[in-house]
Amino acid sequence: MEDKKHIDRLFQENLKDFEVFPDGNVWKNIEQQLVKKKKRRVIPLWLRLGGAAATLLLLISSGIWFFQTDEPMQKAPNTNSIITDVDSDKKDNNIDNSKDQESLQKNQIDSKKDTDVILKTPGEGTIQLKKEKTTRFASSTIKKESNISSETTNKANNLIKGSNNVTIAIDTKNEAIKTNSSTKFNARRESKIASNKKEEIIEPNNEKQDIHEALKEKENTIVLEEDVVNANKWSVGSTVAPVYFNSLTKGSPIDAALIENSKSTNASISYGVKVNYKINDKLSLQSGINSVELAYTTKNVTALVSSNDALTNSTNLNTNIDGFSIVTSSNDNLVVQEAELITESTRSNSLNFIGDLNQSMSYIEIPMEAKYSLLQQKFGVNVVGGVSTYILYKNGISILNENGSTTLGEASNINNVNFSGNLGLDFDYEINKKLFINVSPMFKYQLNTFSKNDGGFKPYYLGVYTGLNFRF
Amino acid sequence: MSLEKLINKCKQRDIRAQSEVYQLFAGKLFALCLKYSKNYQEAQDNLQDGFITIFNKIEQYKFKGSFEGWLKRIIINTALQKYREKNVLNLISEEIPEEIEVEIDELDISLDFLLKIIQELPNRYRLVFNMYVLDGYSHKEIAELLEISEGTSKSNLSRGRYILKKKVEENAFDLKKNKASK
Repeated sequence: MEDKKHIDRLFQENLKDFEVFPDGNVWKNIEQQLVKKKKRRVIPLWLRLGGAAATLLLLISSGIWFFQTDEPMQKAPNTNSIITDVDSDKKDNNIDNSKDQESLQKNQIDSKKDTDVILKTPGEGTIQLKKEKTTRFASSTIKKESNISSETTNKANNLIKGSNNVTIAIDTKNEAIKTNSSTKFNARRESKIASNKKEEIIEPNNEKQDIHEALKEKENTIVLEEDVVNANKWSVGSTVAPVYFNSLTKGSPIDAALIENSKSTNASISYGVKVNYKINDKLSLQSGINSVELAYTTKNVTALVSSNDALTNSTNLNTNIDGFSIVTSSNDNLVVQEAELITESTRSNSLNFIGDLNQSMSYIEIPMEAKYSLLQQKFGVNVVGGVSTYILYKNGISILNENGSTTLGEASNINNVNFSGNLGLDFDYEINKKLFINVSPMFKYQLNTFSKNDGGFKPYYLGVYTGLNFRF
Repeated sequence: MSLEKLINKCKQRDIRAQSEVYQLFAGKLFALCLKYSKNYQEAQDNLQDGFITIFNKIEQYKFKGSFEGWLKRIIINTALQKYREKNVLNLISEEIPEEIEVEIDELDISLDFLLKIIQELPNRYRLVFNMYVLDGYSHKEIAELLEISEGTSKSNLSRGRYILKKKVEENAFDLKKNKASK
């Protein structure tokens, strides 16, 4: 049955329902890559967050410093003439209404000062806007400008009429802020303006005695207001945590002979204060200062103290006192101080300590961490990553047996400055708008605790930080 | 579970859903890979890479058009990608093809044989033949996807057809000879 057929049709018909199942390996490979990708996605986030935390904190603190010192005074471009015109018109009116010629002059001087302020504040507003790199906020600037003009009118009024109106003016100002469909952005701007104004106002005070009081009152209210307006950006709190210090691997930084000895963690405590700055709804930076004591115990250690020089030599001792040895091996990481017990004891006899060797290090810790919010309601869940700097202030090794604890000396191989990588969670619970409590389990991996001969000891510690925090 | 549910779970990176989608479509898509590839190994590589692309970009499937069509396009693109990188697809000659008919005894044609001769085609012919004849792409689309001119696409198609025709005829001739000698 020979047949003439277009070559395309031949292939189309035959391959129409063509299906072939691939090897099982193919799916295994795909699965492997998919799972790998999933994991990969999480880790770089942490690395980035941790690294970025320190940098961001540095940038922000220097930024804050910059804004507080130079900018309000010097960086003010003199644009925005419309507002100035309107304001001075209004002021003229006010001045006309005034009866007292002398106070009129004073007011004129003061209103000039105020005008300066206005010139500056919108200018600063635009600088800030550029920094934000968004045009979205254009409308808010307009709103803000109108606020400013009304504020200044109020202020001009106050200056003329004296202290009686100050409270009213401030009330209106508060209202202006409230009605300002108050986005946080606006609010922050307002406070900035308020603080600028404050600085400017102080100058005329020196000259004008009668207005002085009114202004001072106002100044106080402005300061108060600033607090309200800045709400929730910053928080400070206390932290207390039980910490559990241990090593990821077997090892002993004290003596190679102790590597195989079992070790246990001594629950110790870390406490301090924490400062948190909220960048946006999701991300905040935190730092602070903590005191932390890290300690662990090496079990079943035999320490030998002897006046016998031969013994000391043979066991390779490197200590300040005669004849101290841990078992029989070299212990070049231990500098032994004159221990009272040893001097009391008869030198001629050798002395054995059998007990647990306790090493402790006390640090001042300065963490720099970024906190990323996963859930944000009355109960919040955050992830935290960052780095800590540790400054050593105490370091000791003691031996514990039935006779009590005996200080042996200190380890010679501990760095004075040490760093750690931090990772953890943070749960918070809001008590009210100002107060919240938080619980934060953290894992802190120590990077360079020991300067040399760490004996395979890879230290880390776990801490569950709890604290009461105050937002302001 | 409906396909839609399954796709949504894949969008959440649910490995079980991903496995199910794989089971559902691997047969068809592997056949597709075999047609576009030189050999079995290359087809497997393409299938693997294609599925990884599928699962990584599954958010982009918005339930417009058939899911299978979307999968096929990704698999074909994966296969094409490799040749585009090698830039082996351009051919200078641009003859316009004539219709080619072959005399065949249908019973003697096996699917394996057809697949084999497709795979043996040079890359540039194989891709164009597959796309135009078997997967319904126009010359214009092929030209865009392979970054060649439409004329090149047409001439590659006709050369591909010509080679396939010869092989089919040779095969038929061999079969006849075998039968005769028996």
